[in-house]
Amino acid sequence: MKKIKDIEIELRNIKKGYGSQSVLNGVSLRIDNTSFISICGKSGSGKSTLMNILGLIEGYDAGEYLFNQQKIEPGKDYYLLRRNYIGFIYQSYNLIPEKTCYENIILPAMYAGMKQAEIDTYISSIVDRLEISHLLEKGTFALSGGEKQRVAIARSLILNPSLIVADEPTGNLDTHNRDAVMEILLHEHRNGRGIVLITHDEAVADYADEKIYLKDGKLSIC
Amino acid sequence: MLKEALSQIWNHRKTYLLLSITVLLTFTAIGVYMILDDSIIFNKYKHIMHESHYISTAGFDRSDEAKERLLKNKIEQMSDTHYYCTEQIQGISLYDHQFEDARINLEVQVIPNHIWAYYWSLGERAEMLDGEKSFSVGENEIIICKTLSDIMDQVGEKDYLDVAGKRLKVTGVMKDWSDTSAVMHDDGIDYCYVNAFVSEKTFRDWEKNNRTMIIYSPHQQEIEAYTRDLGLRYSSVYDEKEEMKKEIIRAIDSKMVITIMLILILGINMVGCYMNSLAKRKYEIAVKRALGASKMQIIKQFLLESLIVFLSDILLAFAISMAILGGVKIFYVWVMHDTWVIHITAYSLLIYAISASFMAVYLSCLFSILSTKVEVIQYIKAE
Repeated sequence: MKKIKDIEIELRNIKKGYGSQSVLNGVSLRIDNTSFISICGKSGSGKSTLMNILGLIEGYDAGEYLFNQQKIEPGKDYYLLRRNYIGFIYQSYNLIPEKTCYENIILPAMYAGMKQAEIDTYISSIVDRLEISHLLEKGTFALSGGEKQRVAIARSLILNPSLIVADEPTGNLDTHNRDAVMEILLHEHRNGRGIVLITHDEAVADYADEKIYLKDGKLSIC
Repeated sequence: MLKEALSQIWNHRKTYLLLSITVLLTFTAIGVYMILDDSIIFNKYKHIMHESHYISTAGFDRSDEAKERLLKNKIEQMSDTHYYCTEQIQGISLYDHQFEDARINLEVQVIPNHIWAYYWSLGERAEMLDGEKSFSVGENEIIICKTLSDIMDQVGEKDYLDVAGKRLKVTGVMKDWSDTSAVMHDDGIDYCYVNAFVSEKTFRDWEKNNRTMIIYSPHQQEIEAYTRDLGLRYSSVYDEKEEMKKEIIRAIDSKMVITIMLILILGINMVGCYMNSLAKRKYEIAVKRALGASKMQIIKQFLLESLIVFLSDILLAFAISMAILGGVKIFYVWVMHDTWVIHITAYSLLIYAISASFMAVYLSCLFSILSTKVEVIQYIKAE
């Protein structure tokens, strides 16, 4: 297995709003491969906005974002950093319904130009670990919530990311599947990946080394 | 990328099918119009398409005998020059009660002294049954076509044929020309149009109607000047080819106008189809972008999808156009008993190719560029 690349993210006094509504009001945060942070907060508190900014999907209005000491400009598209360093897991899985599980998992690898032999080697180790080998040829519509989330996790791991950003990854799952997914994330963290977990479930947040609460657009340590 | 594009075409086949039908209908209509128009012009002039510029015709009325003699004298002095005359004779008699009421139209080709004969309106050379293209015919002799020979066999006449009061000896049988036709049944003939060759001496006693002289000569300008000086009707392969070119050029304007109108209508429809397709695929685009696909990769994928569908449709539309014209050809051959050639000029092909390429590239680029105007966070489903 390839070595996981080092990552160091620093948010300094990040502000973000939509129109006149301020969502993030001076958020500062430091994340690296050793981080396992859970960000809690009520619905509408800006957790997903923070995750999108962290994941380089969305820009910010003010503040400073350093990614491996490189300053991130708000309007630019950092798809290469996103592709090479960050894996995303969503509450609603965000799988493409027309594709099979295999096609969904390899999608980031395809855009990264990974060779088929390399994909095949890497994918087998991931799907074995997540126990979804038997699902590869199936369409995603036939899967249970837990299975879909495992497929989404496999997809997030295919490019060997340094950081996994998970937005309510267990929100649609039962207790058994919730624990299974969290065990997988914990395992990946032990392998050297940073984890940022967004959740409002205290039991899930407890898996993290550090729990942060987002309220009124600001972070506070629980 | 190609695999992904093909896979997405299959996944979104309903949308692409709707789009394909629009493209197919438009480009089939353009194709049929262009090929039909070109084929009509080509078939009008097909007899001269592959013919030498050395061929021309001079037409004489009943009163032009003196002028005819003058022209013949002039032509006979020219090097490498051949001619013959052609005229329709209806006074053919076959002595058999079965054919008493038969109407036999005989077109006689009057050969002056030698062997060259070319059927003007069909672009065919005369040829004997054994393939020989050189032949001559003496006074009171006649060379008949295969169909007339068959009719004579039926009535028991073999060696002699009575034409306009003259008994002529049949000295040869030539292959039918493509306009030779006879509708026969056991009781007689419904209609008959046959050809034969006689000599100038045989022909001179017959009543002259409208004669046409067909001339093969490298001295066309000289013949044209002399013919026009004599006040005779004149036309040449060269003139007809020029007229055909003018007709083709005239047709280009209307082709361009119709093509532009059709592709404008297609363009409006296509933009609607593409916008509809993009609206359905914003989620897919957003997920791919979130997973690390660059804008250029998304553009490439949508461009490839659109080009594959568009170009396949255009090729298919051209094939369907050809098939429809094939049907027209079959109608001509089987129902009208006529030959008809499917033809497309380089001009039409160019207009078709340019309009197809423009639409394919322009609309595909538009589609692919619009595909990146997706706000990723709007379509990534969160809590």
